[in-house]
Amino acid sequence: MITKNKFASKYTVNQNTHSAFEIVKDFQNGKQSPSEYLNDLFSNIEKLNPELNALTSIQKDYAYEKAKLLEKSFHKMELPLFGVPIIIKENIQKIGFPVECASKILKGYKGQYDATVVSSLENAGAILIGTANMDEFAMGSANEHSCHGVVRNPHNTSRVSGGSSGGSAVACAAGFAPITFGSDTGGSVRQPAGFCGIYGIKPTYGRVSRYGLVAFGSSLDQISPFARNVKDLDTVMSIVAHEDANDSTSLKGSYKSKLGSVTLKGKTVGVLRSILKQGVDDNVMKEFLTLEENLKKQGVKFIDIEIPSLEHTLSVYYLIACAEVSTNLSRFDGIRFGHRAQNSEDLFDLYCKTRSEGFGKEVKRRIMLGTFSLSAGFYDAFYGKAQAVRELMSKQFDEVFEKVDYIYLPTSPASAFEFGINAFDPIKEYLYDVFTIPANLIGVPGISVPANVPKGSLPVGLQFLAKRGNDAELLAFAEVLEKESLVGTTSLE
Amino acid sequence: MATEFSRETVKRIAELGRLYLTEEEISTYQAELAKILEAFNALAQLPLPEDFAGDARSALVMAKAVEKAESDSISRLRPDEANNSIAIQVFLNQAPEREGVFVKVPAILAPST
Repeated sequence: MITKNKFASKYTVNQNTHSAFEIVKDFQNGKQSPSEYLNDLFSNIEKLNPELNALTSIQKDYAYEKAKLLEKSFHKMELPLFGVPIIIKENIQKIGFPVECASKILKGYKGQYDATVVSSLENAGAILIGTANMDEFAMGSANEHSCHGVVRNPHNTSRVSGGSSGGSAVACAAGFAPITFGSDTGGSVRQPAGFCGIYGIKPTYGRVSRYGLVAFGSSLDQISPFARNVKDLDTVMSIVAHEDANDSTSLKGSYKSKLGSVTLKGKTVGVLRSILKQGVDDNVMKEFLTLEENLKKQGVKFIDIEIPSLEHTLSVYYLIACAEVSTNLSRFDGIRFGHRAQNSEDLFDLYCKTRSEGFGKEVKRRIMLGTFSLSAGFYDAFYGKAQAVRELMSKQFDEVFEKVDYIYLPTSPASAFEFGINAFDPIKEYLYDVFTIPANLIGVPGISVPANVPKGSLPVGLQFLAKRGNDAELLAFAEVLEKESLVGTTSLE
Repeated sequence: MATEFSRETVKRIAELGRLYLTEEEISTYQAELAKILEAFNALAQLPLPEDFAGDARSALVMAKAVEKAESDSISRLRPDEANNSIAIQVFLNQAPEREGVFVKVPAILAPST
């Protein structure tokens, strides 16, 4: 017997009713004001968050103040996100909000400037209402490595939310906000989107400014949104995906929506059949093949493709990511902000004590790995080689994209797993990212769409990758899948 | 190829990363690093065409790769002009220890160095 999910609410009953595009209409028509909307929303969040642990701060005062300001200026009603509540992962800078990155070393640290994404959202009329839990410094696949505690999956609270943007994914799935933001370095938005049954897109590298995102792996990081429908993702991409002089790797130009311009008939999709042969759970494989069959019926052509260098995905990724971690995290030293160890003898002692007390196990493991692979004598053999294989992988993907419009993969090899089963085996946990990492290594956009799972089953994420810069085509394609009811947000009912 | 990590090597790596490790952590990393290194060694031995030399500046490599796809698509460095700086007081408010307008730190030249 399926009992009603206790996290179901009016916000989750239908993926569109409380979508950004619907509530903006209500606000603009004067059906209700943003402040009135916040009253109910906050009471729902306060009721559900203690068990889910998705949010690390609820910014009520700030949100009401913003709402009142918006309501006062009549001309702002035309803004595309007028009054829309949005939640950000707590590794994105917002003045006065906690930016603790779920780490003891940043305990008490508050944003000192606004990230470009934050300014763009606020200029478009959005109201930031809180910060989301995450894996410490975005390192993890299950949100089990957080100084704020684990995040629970609303579809089954004995299971993980996915990570590292677990809090943002759960906040969106549980209806705390129509749009939430995470960051995706190796799948940290697509994987929890899959585990929680919602949509998440990692844009092309450089399409969304990284200014104000606490750096993890600078050549891989991308701020990425979650939503319960594709139209909201498209709307928010139009707002945050633009050139930014404060991020020297930011792409020129801006995102231009292509919703409605894509048809399924005549599209070619590539499938990496050989890498799906082992290690993919039956329920995931079943959903994968069902969507493939349904797309074929709609005139989509599927071809088998091979990318030999993918065999080295995990080694290449962990070498590069950890090397970048060890350099990026050297700024946390107890001098200018965050935690500082007491009773240190000298500067070296202060650094070491502060960092040893402040960083968690997974972060230390990656600093160790990165420091080692960058050390004299190993640098060329490991880091240099990893970069070379990455370049090769990129070439091989480019060749495949000459023949196909999209590449189709599961988002993860399994659905959300139970707490603790992978926490003590890093290699096993790393395997959950094997299908999401390639998009970060080569910089292409990737979207996780929720499969139409049977009622009461755990969500399954399915992933499509597109050519660099084809973010808008990818979302337009996903919107067709959603319109044809081939995929859709997993109901909490 | 099995790679051995002595306790001294693990301690030295930790020191480079400005971390102190407990005896137990040293043992853990001895085992873990060896295991992960084995996986990396397979990569190190992979034969590659000569033009894939590997560029260590990875963020720039990414930028270049995207640039190839869309010509002239990367923003250049902005002019080196001071703007959007964090006000001194705002910055100092979050410093763990301060004195006047300074961030207080232990003596750089400690007796032990």
